Amino acid sequence: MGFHGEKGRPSKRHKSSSKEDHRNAFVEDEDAYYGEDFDEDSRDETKKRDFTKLELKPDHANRPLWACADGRIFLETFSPLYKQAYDFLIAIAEPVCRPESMHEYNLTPHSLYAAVSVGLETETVITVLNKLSKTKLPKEMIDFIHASTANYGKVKLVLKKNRYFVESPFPEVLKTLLRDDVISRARISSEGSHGSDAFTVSKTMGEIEGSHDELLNGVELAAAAEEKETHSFEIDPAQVENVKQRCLPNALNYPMLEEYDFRNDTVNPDLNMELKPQAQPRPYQEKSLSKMFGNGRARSGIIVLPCGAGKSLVGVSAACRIRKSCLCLATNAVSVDQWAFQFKLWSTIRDEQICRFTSDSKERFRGNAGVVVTTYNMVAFGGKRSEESEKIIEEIRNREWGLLLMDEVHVVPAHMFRKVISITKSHCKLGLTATLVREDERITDLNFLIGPKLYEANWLDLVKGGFIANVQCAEVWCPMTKEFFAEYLKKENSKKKQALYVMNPNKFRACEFLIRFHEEQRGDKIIVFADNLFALTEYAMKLRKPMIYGATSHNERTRILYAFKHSPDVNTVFLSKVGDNSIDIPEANVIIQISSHAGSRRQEAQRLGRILRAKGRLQDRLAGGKEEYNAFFYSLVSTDTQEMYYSTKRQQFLIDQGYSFKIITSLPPPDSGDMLSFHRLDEQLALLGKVLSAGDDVVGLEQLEEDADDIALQKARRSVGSMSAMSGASGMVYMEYNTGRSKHPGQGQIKSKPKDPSKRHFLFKKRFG
Amino acid sequence: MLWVLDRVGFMDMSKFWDEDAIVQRVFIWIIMVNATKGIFISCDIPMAQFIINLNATQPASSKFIIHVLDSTHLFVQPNVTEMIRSAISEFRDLNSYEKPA
Repeated sequence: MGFHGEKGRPSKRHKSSSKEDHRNAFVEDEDAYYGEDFDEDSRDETKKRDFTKLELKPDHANRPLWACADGRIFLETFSPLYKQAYDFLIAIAEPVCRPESMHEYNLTPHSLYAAVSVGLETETVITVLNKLSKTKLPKEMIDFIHASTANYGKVKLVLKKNRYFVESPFPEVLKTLLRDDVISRARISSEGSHGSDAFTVSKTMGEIEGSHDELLNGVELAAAAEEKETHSFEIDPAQVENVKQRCLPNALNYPMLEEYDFRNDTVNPDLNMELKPQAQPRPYQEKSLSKMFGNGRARSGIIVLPCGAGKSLVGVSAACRIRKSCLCLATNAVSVDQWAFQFKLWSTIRDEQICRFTSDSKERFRGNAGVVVTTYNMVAFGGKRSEESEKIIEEIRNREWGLLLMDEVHVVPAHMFRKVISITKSHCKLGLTATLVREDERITDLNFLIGPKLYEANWLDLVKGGFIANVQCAEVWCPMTKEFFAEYLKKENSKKKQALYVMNPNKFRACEFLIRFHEEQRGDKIIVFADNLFALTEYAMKLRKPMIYGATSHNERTRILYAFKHSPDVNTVFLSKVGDNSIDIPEANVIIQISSHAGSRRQEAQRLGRILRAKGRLQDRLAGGKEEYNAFFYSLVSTDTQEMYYSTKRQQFLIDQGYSFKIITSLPPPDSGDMLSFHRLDEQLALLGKVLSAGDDVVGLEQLEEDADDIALQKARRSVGSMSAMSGASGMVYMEYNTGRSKHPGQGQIKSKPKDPSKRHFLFKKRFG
Repeated sequence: MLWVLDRVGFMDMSKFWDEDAIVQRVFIWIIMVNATKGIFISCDIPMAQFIINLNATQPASSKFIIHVLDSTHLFVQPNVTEMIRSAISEFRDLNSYEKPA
């Protein structure tokens, strides 16, 4: 932000405030934003940046963005040109933070690579950026764009008849590549080649670029359709990924483009499927698809849309455009069913053309083309398989897939991707995700494993359009009670810290209050999330609500979820982290989070996604409609504990998407007294005693071992929990759990867990021998 | 003299001796033990617990709490203000997340 910028803003402010009254709020926000940034800069000497040298254009008020020499770009969202500028920026730069009035973007070599791969050329990037910028583009930025894009788009990776070729119109570029060790080793020399320098030469049509109307003044892109000579060499399929990695900007800097000319693919049989007429892609879905099919070919890459915004329709539409065999990968068996359902819902695909391949159902499609839906684990599984699955895997291996559709790409470990991608040969890969963040910072791996990010939706824009629910996020601060905090501070309780802050009676009361409020006053459907199993059971028992966790059987789950969906008496369900991804509950619109997985930003976003699916009538949801907020996300935090740290960390992703967390300190209201549980000190002390007497293994996090198809995440952070301890067999006070079990089916099955004989109470040991 | 550090206020009690019942209790008690000079701490419940716990972890020779008056008031040795202050700020740093730049 330059000081020249300061000069420019008053006119802007005047203009916008005269237009609409509520814009005033925007301008204030903007000031706050600026002020904060300045503070930060002056606090940290090394970060101080001076942009006073940037020259402001005379008509700067009409232009929407500030471009800084260090690659950062700030976009004013209240500008009339916001929509066009947003579409352009999202193509060339990485969004850093997108609050309501001002967005921050960052130009990186990767983001420019993505820009080139969706068909933007260096000169176009610079001219459009210059047109949109309030200041003259800094020379550093122009140089940076030139330097990063000079080599882009020169090399292509092509799959032809099950063989991979590296193609380029420039033989000297291929020579440069071959000088690299990894690449020359990966090369497969065909018998007919004369010496190592010879490349296969073929003639291909030059690219025909469509004009990008959405860009300012309809900047025309190169539209040359002449015949070009292409040189190519073949590489080992097993080495494809290594070769790709060597070509990335941080190594040889000739990033490869992967495109699939599916219309002219006569080798692979067509799959006869189309979108049904009622499948109307929304504007942003249309836009993300146009990025993928921009030049009539299919590009590999990742599309980022929030949960509930209709990712599956994008996936199905892509498959319908390519009309070749499609392999669809999901994270678990439940989502496999959902994907198969989505394919049948949106497209005209016939039942025998689509099949599911999981440990439970091993279907095979008839005919020479079709859609296979399976899990990452089924494909990447290294051990011995049954004869039947072996056959299916062999089929998957030998087939040339038109489209590899990958769901939830952010959760899959990089090594599993490698395996999946090396096993399956696909012309085009499309990754879908809601949250492109990972705690292990392996996001950049996805860039070469799948492709660049093609499109990323702005959450707040979707909220404004009424496509996803408008969520009120709140962090509820619950002070620790005296006795719990005293125990929390003791060294010998270090392993029980989590249990102590989760079981904090003030938190329990806040939770009880919120459940009552939403059930009784608003008639909402509520999900309560607790990662800590001990807390999950305690809360659910005390409040007499059904719960689902890893060990809950499939039947039990279905029964509880059915009741939750259809019965007016069951409005609250307690979920452990099995509910993060694999349980689909579109009815819920309130989430209360009482404990969570350390500082995982992804989990926070995924949980929010549970209630993002828009509910109610569209006109009520739009600005000025009946309800300002129609979904609520509460995070209950015990103050003065580690939870404060985790909670702030977890919120970062949502804050960068423009959400703000309201802090509530007065829950439950002081007059609620003995209307809520744990009002009396002796009750609180009894609870404390229970927490302290529980074994360390009981109060830890839940471990999901039963979900074989679920991809285990960050194993290192999980502590082992013992199932026998959960059942009460390790001598915990268990008697009072028994009341009202018949009423609440979710609670009954805990007792049915087989008991570990060694942990049986001594009175019963005799009886069971 | 009065400092306010977040939610914990340290005060020199001589100026407040007649202000409210609690302070008077302290004052009387001080007379009984030949007027030990000390500092009166007023804070919220968890912070009082924190200070009590801090005191408990000290070796016997350097215990600093003279008297726990109630759940939000403590009377401590006059020379420990800085120590308590830094221990509290360290504890709070541990519990707050700052976004890496």
